[in-house]
Amino acid sequence: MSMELLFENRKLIGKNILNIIKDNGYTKSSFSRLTNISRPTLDKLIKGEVDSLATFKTHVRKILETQGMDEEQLLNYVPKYNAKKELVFALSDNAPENHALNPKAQEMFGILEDIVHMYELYYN
Amino acid sequence: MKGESMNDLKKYLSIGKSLKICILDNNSVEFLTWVRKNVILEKIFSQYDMILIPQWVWTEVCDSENRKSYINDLKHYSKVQIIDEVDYLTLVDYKEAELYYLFLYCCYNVSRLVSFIKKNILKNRPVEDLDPYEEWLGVFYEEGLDQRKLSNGRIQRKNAGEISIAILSYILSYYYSGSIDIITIFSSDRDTYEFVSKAKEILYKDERFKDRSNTSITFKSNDFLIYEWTRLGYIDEQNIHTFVDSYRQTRRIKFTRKKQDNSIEEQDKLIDNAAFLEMLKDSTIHLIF
Repeated sequence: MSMELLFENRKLIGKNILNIIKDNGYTKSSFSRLTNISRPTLDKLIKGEVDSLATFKTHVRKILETQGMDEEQLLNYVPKYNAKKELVFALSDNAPENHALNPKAQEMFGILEDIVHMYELYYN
Repeated sequence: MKGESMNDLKKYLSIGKSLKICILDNNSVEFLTWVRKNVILEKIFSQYDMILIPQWVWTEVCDSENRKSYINDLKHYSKVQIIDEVDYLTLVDYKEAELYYLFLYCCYNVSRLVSFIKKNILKNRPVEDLDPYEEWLGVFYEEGLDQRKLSNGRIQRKNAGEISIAILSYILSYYYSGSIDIITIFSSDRDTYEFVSKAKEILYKDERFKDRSNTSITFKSNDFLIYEWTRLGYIDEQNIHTFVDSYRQTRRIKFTRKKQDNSIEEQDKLIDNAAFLEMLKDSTIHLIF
């Protein structure tokens, strides 16, 4: 199978790369270190937005090498796990990043977080 | 450990030689320094191929010259490695999302830490979008763990050592199960035991880990060591009362005992020194923690 075919299907290849990252317990950041692909380039690969065939080839080869895969396996990659339905953390603090809660509100949020966690602990 | 030496360690841990690994906690090192004149360290550690100490534990060990010198002496007899928590990423082959889950599960008994991790590390993003490990490890250590200033001026981080030991033991258990037969944690800290036990419960249910082979993690508490040394004859029967009175206090022990019909009873209760001395005579007892 040619690299050109992968390039033609680069949107699908991007999705498959993301699934490889998820299935194998990597993060984008750690996968970037493992494969020696810069983080911005990896993001572009995942989005299928690398427009140069030469760049695409270079980086996809690095991925194939670290994962012990060939082109065909990458093109036809089937995710190991279905998207796991994670428990949504029910309590969401949407305050702006630098906003400081007053001590009373902070204490109440702390108690609420503990209750949510206790529920999660026993739910599991 | 950095660079080449980490790779050497990985190679050593992967050679498939039925390795026996011991992980040391600070409280056990303290106990071992007390009993050093009674039981020589060679006898305690000669059965292990490697002794590992996480950096966060080593920092605590170094608060005492006695403990530090005990470990330095131990290096003459055994392969002792101090592992920086930053290097855990290399040990798990860059599987940083899995490492994140090991951190989360090993903290599961402390609600505040779980909330902190979700809010300040995961930040409502998919796990694959986590910041680089070194960054969130630093945030966890500096901001997530409760702190207090020790008399020597050092800032102590509550539970740092226990959490690091639990994570390291699961890294060895899940990523090197093919070559490691035994992972024993020397600790008398109930938190360390609880962190490891809670994580085990969750890992066995987690899709990412549940079907993977793993090496079981066992403990040797101070009481376990006294029980073992008595059976091996390292402590003289005539001196056992003095030994126990000098180095042991009332403590909760988790153990099993064989009944007359060979069934096994489980116990988890406070044992004072008098009861403990009786336990030492009973060969049907197995101390779990």
